[in-house]
Amino acid sequence: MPADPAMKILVVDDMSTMRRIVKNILKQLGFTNVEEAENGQEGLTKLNGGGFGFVVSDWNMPVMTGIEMLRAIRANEAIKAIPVLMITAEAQQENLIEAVKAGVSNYIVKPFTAETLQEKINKIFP
Amino acid sequence: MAEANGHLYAELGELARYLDTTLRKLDEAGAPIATMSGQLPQAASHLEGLTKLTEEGTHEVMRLTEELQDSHAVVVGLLHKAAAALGKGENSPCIACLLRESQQLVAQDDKQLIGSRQRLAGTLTQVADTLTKGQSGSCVACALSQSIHSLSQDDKRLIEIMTALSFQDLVAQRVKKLTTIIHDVERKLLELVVVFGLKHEGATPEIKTDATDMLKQLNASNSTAMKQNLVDDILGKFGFN
Repeated sequence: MPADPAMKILVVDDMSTMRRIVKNILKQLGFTNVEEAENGQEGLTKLNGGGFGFVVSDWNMPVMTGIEMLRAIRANEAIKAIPVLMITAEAQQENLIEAVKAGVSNYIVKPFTAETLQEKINKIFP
Repeated sequence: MAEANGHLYAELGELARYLDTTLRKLDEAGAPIATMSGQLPQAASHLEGLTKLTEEGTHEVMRLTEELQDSHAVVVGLLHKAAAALGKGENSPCIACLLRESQQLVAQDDKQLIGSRQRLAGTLTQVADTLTKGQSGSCVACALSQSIHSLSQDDKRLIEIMTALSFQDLVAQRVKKLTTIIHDVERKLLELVVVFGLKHEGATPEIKTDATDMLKQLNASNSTAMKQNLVDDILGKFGFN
């Protein structure tokens, strides 16, 4: 099912610049209902509040990393179905495999382009 | 037995001399180690400051880019409105008015993004003039379409600028790793200082190295650097306009 432009999206990254970049690209792609979180813990709290249809997350973050948050999402019945896209500088093969095993919906390596993000969103929401 | 004792004393003497030399060398190394362990926290702090500087600069570029994107969205909306009005055969002055409004917005953007914006503003002015003179037709619609296409191309460039700014995140991550390494080295050096009782007395002359000078320069740039308005104030007092 194609992505609903009104879908609520959560962008999780400890760097304010990256959150702003992802938010900006999502806006250009037509998604304006975007919220932010600075780490996995804050992300989980927001997700448990309900209403989110998609998560874009970094890997390396203080308090709770992206991969820990991903595992927590997949272990929670109420939010386990939310697609999670990881955008990370962790470009090692073992990182990708770890993320796939944890249930990631897709994976982008930094630096990335808007086209890559659009392509991945199209793959997650065909 | 006496021969064995003599051999043992010789060995012990050798060991004592070795220990004495080692202790003297450690003592010599004490001052540089103590100095280095004192400089490392400052170096780490400057690296953290670097992250903050690049973060602030990146946000400023983002702010300007977002302003241009918002302005583009308004211009494209106006152009679409003009094109639709043209299609319905509405009066030319009304359309010309919409186009002039678009041209003004694009001209404002020129202050920030020169080049294609100037060509676009020129095209829009020509179209508006043509309409005012009452000459309408397919050439006007074509020019409008070109203008919208030009804006769309610029929007792609603006998104590229935004995504290129992700360099800041990568730089910050590496700086963070370097800072962690520096803190680790600092901790190990301090352990050495404590374990071997290396002292760096206040009276001990500071060991001058390139690192010492550079740290001084970095500290000065943080604590004594003047803002341009202060420079201008001082220059003004000396008669500079």
